[in-house]
Amino acid sequence: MLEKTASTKGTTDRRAANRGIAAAAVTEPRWVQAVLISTAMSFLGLFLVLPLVVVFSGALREGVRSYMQAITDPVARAAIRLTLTVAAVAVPLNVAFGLAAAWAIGKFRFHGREVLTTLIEVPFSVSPVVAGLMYVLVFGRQGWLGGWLEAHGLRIIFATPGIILATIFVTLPFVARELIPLMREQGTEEEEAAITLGADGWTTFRRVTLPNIRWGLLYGAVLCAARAMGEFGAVSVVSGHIRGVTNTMTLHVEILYNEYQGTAAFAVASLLSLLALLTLAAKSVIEWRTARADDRSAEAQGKEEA
Amino acid sequence: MKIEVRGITKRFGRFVALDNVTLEVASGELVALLGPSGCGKTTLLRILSGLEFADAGSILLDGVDAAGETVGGRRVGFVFQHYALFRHMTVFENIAFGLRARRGHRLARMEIAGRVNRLLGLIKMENLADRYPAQLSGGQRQRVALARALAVEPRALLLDEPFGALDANVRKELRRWLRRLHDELHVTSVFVTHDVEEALEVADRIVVMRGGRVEQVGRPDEVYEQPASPFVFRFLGGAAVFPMRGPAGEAMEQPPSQKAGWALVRPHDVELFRTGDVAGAVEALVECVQPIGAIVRIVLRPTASGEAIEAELSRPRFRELGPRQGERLFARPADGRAMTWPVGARSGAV
Repeated sequence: MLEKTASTKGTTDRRAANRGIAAAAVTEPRWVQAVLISTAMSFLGLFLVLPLVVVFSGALREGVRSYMQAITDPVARAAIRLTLTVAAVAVPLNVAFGLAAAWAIGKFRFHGREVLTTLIEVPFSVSPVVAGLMYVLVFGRQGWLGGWLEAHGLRIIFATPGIILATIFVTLPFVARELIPLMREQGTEEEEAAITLGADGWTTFRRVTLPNIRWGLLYGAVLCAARAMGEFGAVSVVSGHIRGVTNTMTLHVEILYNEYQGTAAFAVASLLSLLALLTLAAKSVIEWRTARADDRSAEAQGKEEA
Repeated sequence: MKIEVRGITKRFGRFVALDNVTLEVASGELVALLGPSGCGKTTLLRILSGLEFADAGSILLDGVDAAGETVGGRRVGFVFQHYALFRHMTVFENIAFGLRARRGHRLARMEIAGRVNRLLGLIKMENLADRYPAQLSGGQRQRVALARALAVEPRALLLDEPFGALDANVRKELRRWLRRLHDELHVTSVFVTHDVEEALEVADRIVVMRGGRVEQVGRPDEVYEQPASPFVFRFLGGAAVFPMRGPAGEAMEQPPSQKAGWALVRPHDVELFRTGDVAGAVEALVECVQPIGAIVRIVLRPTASGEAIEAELSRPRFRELGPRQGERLFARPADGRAMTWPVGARSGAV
């Protein structure tokens, strides 16, 4: 009993000491604060804001007319269409895969679960260029399956399927990684409750599991889409850079830039940036919604304890 | 619904969770599965519900083998320790879930609303129908979970430590409410608990489990007054241990075949005296005196070695005797209140 009191007292003392340190940190001289803040702000401005501004100003340097011309050019339009097609195929597939993987890893215990978890992260650690090269080695003309594919008239490398495959590989972890911790934390009790109430598997998934993970799922999908549209390395290796056919937006920007068509390059780049900003906004909205939901339950928790 | 458990065995890897358990629950009965954690009681409950599968043995529900039936097909309600309410649904939607989800016999909207409102009345939460689970207290959440399970008119109700996550007062209130509810509805119910008081107060019959086996089945009074083993004796209400050697043992109900053994007695059945001329009394020193509300607990250390003896005195008796720490007293089981076991059977440690 005595000991306990002593230890409680110790904690209180430590806490007081911590407060002292914190107070000291806050009372840094004004000029130190100013230097620190302005350093951080100018760094941010120089490396994040300025480039964005340059992209948009570069794009509009020769007026709205040439901007419109650059993005309505048939080759540019083909690139935009291809990028959107790739994202439209890759994102749903990775949402489905991520959901299945997270469901298995988060809700069940089985042999090889840890291996699977690590495997999902491989695309993060492998350089996109290497990823592209792997696909060339497997599906390319000289690759393992090249002969068979050619005999059947199927083209994967230097064609849209290859670009989609490479994009899927690179964006594979986004949804799964977002959902695994979420589903692990939520456990299986709610699903079990649904089943004991007579719901079948599909109803349980649709009405219990999915609503609980919807924000995490959307968040993962948004990140996945952003990356799918912005991917360069892997796509560059498998695309073959055929203008108007296998050039995505990122590849198109590179070509324009290398051909000294600065304004056109900036115009397409500004479109990509716009897409990125849109996803960023979507992500913020999702985060805000999630935080609000958390607050609500935390508040209720507090009420109960009081 | 009548539930029959026949020779159920369940292993998790090398750990035997249930070892050939056989059990019967009569229709309309309220049965408690009581035991320390890890005794297999929750596993048994989950097997009954169909959420878990047994390695051997069978479950008969109303005489029909449940092996071929799905969880939903068994029509057995399950109440979880941590409520498992659907967090994104309101109280109303939670209770209505089972009515809407069941395939085949879907109910009309009005009928669902009617039934949910009746259940809301039953759990006295009519005005909280639009709340989300996160906005409710623990006791309210568990009442909603119960209503949700009852909504589909289950043939039996299984409750896994239903009050385990609640604080003491809410717990007491809610378990009495559950008992009254059961008296009203008479739905066959099995609940798991490690709280002896809870089992004794609520259940019609208690199944005491230990290490995956059934130690004893009986009415609360039976398992309390006539425990089948030293374990049951100790687990239900604790025990003071008296060595039975020489003349001291003679005063107790010693089975004639045994020369040496141990006598277990409830702390409230230990008598304390100041003088040693009482038959069967053991000399002991008072180690500590702890007043706990209506009773006073006294821990004594026998002078001739042995386990510490715990005695509980009523307040009047305590005032009369006035024991103080370090004093020498004499202790013995009240007449006929001790149960004896041979030395070999002393595996009663809880």
